[in-house]
Amino acid sequence: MLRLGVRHAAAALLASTAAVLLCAQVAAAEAIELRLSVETPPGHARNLASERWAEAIERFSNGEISVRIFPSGQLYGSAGAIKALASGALDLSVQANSTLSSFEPNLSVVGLPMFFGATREQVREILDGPLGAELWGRLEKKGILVPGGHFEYAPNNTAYTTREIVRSYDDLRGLKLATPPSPLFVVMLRFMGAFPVATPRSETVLQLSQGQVDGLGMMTDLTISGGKLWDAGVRYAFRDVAGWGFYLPLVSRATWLRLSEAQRDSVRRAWKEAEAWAREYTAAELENGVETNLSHGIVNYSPTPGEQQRMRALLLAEQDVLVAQGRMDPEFVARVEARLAELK
Amino acid sequence: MTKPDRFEALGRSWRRFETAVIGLIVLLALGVFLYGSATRSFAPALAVDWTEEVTIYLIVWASLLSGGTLTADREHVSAEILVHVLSERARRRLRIGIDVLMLAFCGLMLWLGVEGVLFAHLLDERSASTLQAPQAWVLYLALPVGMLLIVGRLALSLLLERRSTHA
Repeated sequence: MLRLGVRHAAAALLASTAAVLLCAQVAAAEAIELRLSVETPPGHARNLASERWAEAIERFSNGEISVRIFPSGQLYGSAGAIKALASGALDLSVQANSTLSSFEPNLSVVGLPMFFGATREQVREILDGPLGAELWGRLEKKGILVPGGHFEYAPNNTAYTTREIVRSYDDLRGLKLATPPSPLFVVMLRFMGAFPVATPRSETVLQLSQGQVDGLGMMTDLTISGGKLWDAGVRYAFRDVAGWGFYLPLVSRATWLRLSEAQRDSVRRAWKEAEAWAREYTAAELENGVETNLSHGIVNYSPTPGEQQRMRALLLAEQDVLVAQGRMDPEFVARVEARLAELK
Repeated sequence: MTKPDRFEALGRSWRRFETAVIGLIVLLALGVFLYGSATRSFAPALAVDWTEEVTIYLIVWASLLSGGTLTADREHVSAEILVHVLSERARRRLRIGIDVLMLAFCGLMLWLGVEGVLFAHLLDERSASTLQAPQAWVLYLALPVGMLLIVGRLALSLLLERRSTHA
């Protein structure tokens, strides 16, 4: 009797252990944790969009997928995140087109002189159409997928400086400006007479506060307000709408292949929701950002319309050279230019 | 000339060549850096935006290439506090054991370095300056080349050790 009891107990123990292991395995197979890395600090539009994306992915996937966000470059810096996505070491990210252009130069197309003075709507119209889809497709060859549309951040302005006041393009001569790591920005600022230094976003505060640079080149009002860069010494803005910057959602192809079709759909739908929010938010935030910068003592200067036209004409005359030096595809750029002309 | 002599002569020539190359690279780095600083301050028209970037490449190459020479001269970091209490025979065994471990580690790093170079080449990662230098060849290649030199020196050292035992 006792022997039978022991046997039954052992069998029950084995069965329950097997059941627990099986359940754990099933749960492990169902629950997926994805890692999302961004290099901007919490509160930045990109981080807020990432948080919404993460929350919506969890909601749409009914908890099958959870997303852990690593802000402020805790996990990877700008270029590091892109390489990690391509290798499969990172699952998700939201990246600026300027950073991505070190890997796919054509993503800088909206920073070309033809986009000087362009509106948010014109940029959106182009990137939401087949030209945008073609651009995203170029990233796929590198193992990085774009599961949705972009959101425009803000127009680039040529300079934000610490001590030297830039009132006109002539004042740029000799200024050492930290620019986003885009070959095109470096080439354009060189053409304008400045001395650009391509710098990852995570290093700009240090460079400004230590006086290693005179300011920032090809930046946006939102970058200044979001990063509180007046604390790092930024005092003057030279605002001239010198092209645009945008953000893209990115998924590693290795991660994408691990997901079921329903889970992929959750990721896509979730971004659609985050994208709509981010587009509205950044448009509204631009006005707030300018106000915030003014209230923190930043003085705005702008070129006269005539001067702006002259610089635009000068740069446009050199656009083919800029395209070649920026290793962009001239045929693609020509099609974008034609579409922009239609919209104008 | 006996065979061991030939190996020792090869080791000496190799070291002299490496030291000369590393010295030249460091001098070049210094020159490029000074050129960048001087032109930015005194002749902005002649300034280029890539001097700091090139200086970094040169320093990285010089540092990684010096691994081979350091290994040959046994000047790399090592803990030697207890070594003096060992017998000559035990010291020799320990030396060989450490060389074998280093050979395995550097071999692994060599393999991973090659993988890294190929991956960066696949991504076509470029620097963001006007130079737009392909990172695979100007930067990441330094790691496998440096590791290859260390592996070569360790293999030569083990070979000489073996020959001296049989001599």
